[in-house]
Amino acid sequence: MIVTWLIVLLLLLGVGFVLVAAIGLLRLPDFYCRTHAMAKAGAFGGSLLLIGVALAFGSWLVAVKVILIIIFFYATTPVATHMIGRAAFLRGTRSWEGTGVNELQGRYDIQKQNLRGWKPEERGEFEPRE
Amino acid sequence: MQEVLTMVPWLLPVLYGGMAIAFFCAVLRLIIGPDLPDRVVALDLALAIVLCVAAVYAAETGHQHFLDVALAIGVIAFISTVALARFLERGAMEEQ
Repeated sequence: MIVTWLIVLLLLLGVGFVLVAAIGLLRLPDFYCRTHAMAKAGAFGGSLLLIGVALAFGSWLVAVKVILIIIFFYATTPVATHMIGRAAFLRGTRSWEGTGVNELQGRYDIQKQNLRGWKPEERGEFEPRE
Repeated sequence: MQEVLTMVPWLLPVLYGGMAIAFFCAVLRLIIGPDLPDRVVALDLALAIVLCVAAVYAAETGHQHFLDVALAIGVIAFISTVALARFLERGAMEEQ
């Protein structure tokens, strides 16, 4: 009985997190905010839902398979999101006007793709990117 | 096994309805997304929702094979996002 309600709770929480991710993807103001909502909440909700599915099956073979899916899903979502965020930044996607700080501004050489350090004597040589 | 899901009568409609609304939001962002990276991210989330639907359907019917479908969808989502990101990044490099 307790396991039943645990399964119900996990499935509902998983769907709730996925729904929050989708609403955030639809409602947030710029690309970086949307990525932030979608990657974290989506991967977490999907993992919760998969754990609920594994408990609902209640067999070891399914549990191993679901653990494999969760590891893959939870490990690859940040990588994919980082790559698409990096591509969008290099492409020049603008951030929302309410964004306070752009820490890469003037420190990242787009041609050579190297990052200038934080030390003051290492800055200076780049002209800031608008 | 699948009795667990049918024991609570409102559970399956709530799950499928929530995932349908989430999928609708992702597709809406895919349509109105102002730039190409927005569309790629929306497609990634849509595939993640399809993965969740496959997993819930596996638990509903008791067919384990839908979990393999879910794993394949996860692999496809990752590879497609990485390929599109590489494509966008190369385009941005050549543009400069």
